[in-house]
Amino acid sequence: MAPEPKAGGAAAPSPAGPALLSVRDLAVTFRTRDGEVPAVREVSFDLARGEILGLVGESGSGKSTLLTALMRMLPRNAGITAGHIGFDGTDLLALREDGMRRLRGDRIGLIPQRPMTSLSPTTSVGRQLRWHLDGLDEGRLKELLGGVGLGAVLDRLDSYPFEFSGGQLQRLLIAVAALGKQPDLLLADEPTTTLDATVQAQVLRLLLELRDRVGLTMVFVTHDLGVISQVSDRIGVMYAGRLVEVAPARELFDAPRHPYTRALLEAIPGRHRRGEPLRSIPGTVTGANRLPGCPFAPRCAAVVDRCHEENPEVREVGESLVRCHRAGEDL
Amino acid sequence: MLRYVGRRVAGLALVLLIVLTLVFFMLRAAPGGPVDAYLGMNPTPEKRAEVEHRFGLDQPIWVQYAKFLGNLASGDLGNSLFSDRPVSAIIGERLPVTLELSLAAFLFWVVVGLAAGALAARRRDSFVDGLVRVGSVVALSIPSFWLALVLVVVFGLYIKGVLPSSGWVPFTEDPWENLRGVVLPAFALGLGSGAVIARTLRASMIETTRADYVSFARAMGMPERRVLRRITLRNAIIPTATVIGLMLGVFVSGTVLVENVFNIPGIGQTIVGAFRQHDYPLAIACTLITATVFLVANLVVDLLYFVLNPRIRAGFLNGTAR
Ligand SMILES: Nc1ncnc2c1ncn2[C@@H]1O[C@H](COP(=O)(O)OP(=O)(O)O)[C@@H](O)[C@H]1O
Ligand SMILES: [Mg+2]
Repeated sequence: MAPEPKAGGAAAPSPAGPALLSVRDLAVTFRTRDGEVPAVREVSFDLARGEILGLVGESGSGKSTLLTALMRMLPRNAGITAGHIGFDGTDLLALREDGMRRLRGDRIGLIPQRPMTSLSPTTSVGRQLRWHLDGLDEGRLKELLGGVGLGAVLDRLDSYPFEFSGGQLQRLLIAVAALGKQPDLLLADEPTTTLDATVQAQVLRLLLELRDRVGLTMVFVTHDLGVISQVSDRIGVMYAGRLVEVAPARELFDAPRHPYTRALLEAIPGRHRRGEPLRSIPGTVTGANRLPGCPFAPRCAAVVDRCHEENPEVREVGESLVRCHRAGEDL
Repeated sequence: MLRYVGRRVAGLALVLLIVLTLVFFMLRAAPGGPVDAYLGMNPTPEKRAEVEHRFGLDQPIWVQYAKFLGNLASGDLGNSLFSDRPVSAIIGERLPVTLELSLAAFLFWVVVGLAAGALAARRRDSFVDGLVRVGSVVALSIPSFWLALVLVVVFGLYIKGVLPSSGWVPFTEDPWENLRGVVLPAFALGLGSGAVIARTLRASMIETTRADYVSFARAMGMPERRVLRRITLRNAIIPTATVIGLMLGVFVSGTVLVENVFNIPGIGQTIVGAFRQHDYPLAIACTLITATVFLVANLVVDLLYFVLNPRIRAGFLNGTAR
């Protein structure tokens, strides 16, 4: 592992090889009626080819916004206000819209969060597959659909999206965006939340297999720690728009450094000790991104005065990068 | 599908019958009558009785109604009380005029409305968008008869000779003059509807642009033009088609005002005269024809909706929707 210079003092260098994706101090702001809402702040990480980064965090922590910003497809009322995104040597934020469009799909793919509404309701599914995959022949189609366990729908491709289940649609989207296009970088926004357990396992296996076969690099967003532990090489924990901890998957589970990560892990059923009541994290994330200081301070069990005044810088503790004033202390 | 159309046509016939019955009794309940209109002031009782007998008005109203239904069933709409010509002949002369006017207005304003709406949505918040938005509000607040009067005054008094502002030349007589004559009345007839169509398409395209399926297509690298054509327009046109269907009523009923202002011999002008003179057969026939055109047009739009929306189509095919 070559120690990289840490731009902005906040990088999370990837453990292997040169970075395919390099994000530095990224900030995204929404303009709303109540003023500007920062949804992503000072997010930095590197991703090596073939690496899978899991992103966890509760709903509203900015995971989807981060992925949309990487695609440069933010809604009209949102904008990237700071930072840098490097992709395979290209500065994505300096790219013209047309150049960016050429990267989408072919080199940076996205599996959307809501499969039920992600295909056009007025065109048959088969035709939409052909829109996205040029020169799709019968054999290739069979291979793609078989790959996601959808061999059975081959003769139903002239049906419309509403005639399929959410799980089938999600697998169709994966077949197109991941298997069909085989992008260098795949951004997956909760790709398995709508699937039942067996299908979920099948899809996860498929994505891992694709990584091994073609060196797929992936950012995998979920709020399910169980899923993320199965697929990720490294895990990033988001809280109120900030990446509060990034660590190799094993390290994160064995030695969580940030109080929020700890609280998350303790909230998983089955991990807490028998007889102890299941813990949830007290308080809510609401308004956290407007306060000065550490966004987690109002809910933190290990809070000290300093946390309310000063936002912590990134610190390196073991193999983890943590944004906490008390990181490294034995709490 | 065929069964659906059959059911709709049967429903349509029932609605027509109800409308005609209502008009039949309302005409007779209204003060005054064809005899007064026919004979003028203070006729002698003998003369009155004679004319009443000639018009069949001396019989009890139920007998008149039964006769009317019988004639209707055999396709006989009777003669005009005043000109004594068969009503069907009068309709045959006047209907093509109204249809041409309505159709011209409809086609023109649907095309203009759709183009303006799509352009405004595509260039959202631009100058063009502002123009369409402000222009459509202004257009909506102008009553069509007022606009018609203004056009008649402007083109009849101030800029004479550019476009005819009164009267009608049949297409068979002089096609060019006929088309020139359609311009102003068609413009006045559909301006408001064009504005509604533009606003609806604009709003539903903007709504559609935010849809997940548009984001996904863009995330797959589909070029914007293709996204617009294959996805945004295709989906945004569905609510717009419904609105266009509703507007058909305006195009038909609006001819009453516009034809009278521009002095065009269509159904709209005839219907006003027929009701004023209590010309029962002619009034009934005009009502029948107007209502039929309106109902058939709505049926066509519903069928179009069915073609555009696969969800409804599938519902019909597997019997889950009625
Ligand atoms: N369209 C929007 N308008 C205004 N604010 C938004 C919008 N979408 C997201 N946000 C803000 O961005 C934050 C992050 O949202 P999101 O990225 O969807 O979170 P996640 O995917 O982690 O659930 C939310 O807390 C919300 O305040
Ligand atoms: Mg999300």
